[in-house]
Amino acid sequence: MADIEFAGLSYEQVVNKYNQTVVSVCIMRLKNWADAEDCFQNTFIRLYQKTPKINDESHLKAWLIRVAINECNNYIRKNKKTLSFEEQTNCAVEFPLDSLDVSWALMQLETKYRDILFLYYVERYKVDEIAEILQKNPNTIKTNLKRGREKLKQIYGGDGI
Amino acid sequence: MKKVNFDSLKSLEAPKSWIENAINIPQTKKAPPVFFFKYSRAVAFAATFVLVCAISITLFLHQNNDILKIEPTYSSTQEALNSTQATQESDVENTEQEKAKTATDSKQDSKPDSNNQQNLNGGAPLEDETLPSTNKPETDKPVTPTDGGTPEPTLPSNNNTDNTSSPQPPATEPTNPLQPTQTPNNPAPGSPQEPTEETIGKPDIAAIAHYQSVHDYCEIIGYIETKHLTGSGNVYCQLSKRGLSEPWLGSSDYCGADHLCTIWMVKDGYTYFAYDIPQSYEIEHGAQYLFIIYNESGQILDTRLKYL
Repeated sequence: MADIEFAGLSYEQVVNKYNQTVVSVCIMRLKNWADAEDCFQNTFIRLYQKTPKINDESHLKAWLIRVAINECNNYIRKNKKTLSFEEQTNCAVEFPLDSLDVSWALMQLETKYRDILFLYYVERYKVDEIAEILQKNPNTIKTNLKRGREKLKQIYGGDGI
Repeated sequence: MKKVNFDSLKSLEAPKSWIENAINIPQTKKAPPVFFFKYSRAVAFAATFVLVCAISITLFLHQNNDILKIEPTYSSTQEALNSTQATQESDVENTEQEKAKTATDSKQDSKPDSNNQQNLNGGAPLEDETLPSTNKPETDKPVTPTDGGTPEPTLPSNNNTDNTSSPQPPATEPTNPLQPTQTPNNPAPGSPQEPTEETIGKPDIAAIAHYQSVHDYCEIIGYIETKHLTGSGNVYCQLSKRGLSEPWLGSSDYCGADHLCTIWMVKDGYTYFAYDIPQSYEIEHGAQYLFIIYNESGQILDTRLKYL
C-alpha cells in the first residue's frame, strides 16, 4: 500500500484530497447517495488496481473524474431497469440550503449539459480540459456549454450565470 | 433576481464512512502484480500463440493418425500379396475396365527402350535369356517346393508373339494391362495357364522375403519362370495410382516412367522381380497402386494391386 504513489501522493492522501470531487461527480450523475456510494468506491478501487502512472496532480484529478463518470455510466446502464427508492420518494440528495436551488436546477438538466456545467463552473476546468476529460470535441463542449447555460437559466430563473 | 452560486456545490462532501471504506480498499483488494499489467499484452499474445500452436500440432497429428489407420499394414510379403490378390478380384474387375483404355494408351507412350533396359535389371543376374517356347508354363522345374502356402500363379497366359533375340518393344498393341482377364484368377480366353497342380512346386515368395532390401519402395512382388522372359529377359512395370478421391491415373501422369520394375534375382529357373519406385517420387499413403508387369513383347506377366 505504501509503495503505490500517484503524482507524489499516497493512496490515502489521494482519497482524502479528491473524495469531494468524486462524490460530486457521482451525485450529479446518479442523483442519489446509495448509488453514488457504489460508484465512489468503485472509482477508488479502480485507482488502486490500475495504478495509473500519473506525475501531475491535475492529471490525477482529471483521471478520477473520468473514471467516476465511466463508473456512473456503467452503473446506470446496468441498473436502468430498476428505480431507486430515493428517486421514488423524491428525497434523493440533501444539499445544503444555500446550494439547494442550483443543485436542483442542475439535476433537471440533461446529462450532457450537467456534466459540462459542473466541470466548468464547479471544478473550474477550461473548455479544452473538459473536452479532454469527456473525450469530446472542444467545439461540442462550447456548444453544449452555451445551451446548458440557457436551459439552466430557464429552469433556475436567474440571470447571473 | 437570483444569483447562481456554483461554489455552494463544492460543499458537497462524502460521508466519512465512504472515505474510510475507500482508504481500506488496499486491505481488502489485493493489488495484482505490476508485471501483469506491464506485460499483459505480451503475456496474452504469448499464451495465445502457444495455444494456437498446440491446437495445430494436435490436429496435425490427429490427421496423420487417421491416414495411417486407412493404410493397411502387412506383416509379411505373403500377407500383402494375398490381400492384393483379394482386392484384385473385387476392385480390378469392376473399376479398371473403365480405365483400361486410358491405361493402354499411356502404356504405349511409355514403351521401354533398349538403352534403359540394362539399368532396369539393376545388376541382377540373368541366367536365362531364351525366349519362351511354349505357351504353357513349364512346371517340371520347381526348385523350391512350397510349404503349404498359397502359391501365386503369376505366369503369363500365352506368348503367341514372334519374339526375336533383339529387345524390341511390342510391335502390336500390347495386351490391355488393366483387363482382369489377364490375371491368373480370371484368365483370358485362349490362355492355357491355369493354377493347377503345376503351381504346387513353385517357390514361395514369403520364403525369399528375407532377401528384400530395407528400401521401402522396393519389394518383391512376383516371379516367373525365367524361360518365359522374352528378348533380353527384362521385365517392365507400369504403375497406375488411384488416390483416395481420384480415379486411376496412369504412370505417365505422375511418375513419368515405366522403369519401375527390376529383376530382383534369378534362382533355380525362376526370375523374381520387384517394383522399384524412385526415391524422388512421393508416395501417397492410402492410395492404391496397380503394378502391371510385362515383358519385352508387351505380354502381361502379372498384375498386383497394392497399398503403399
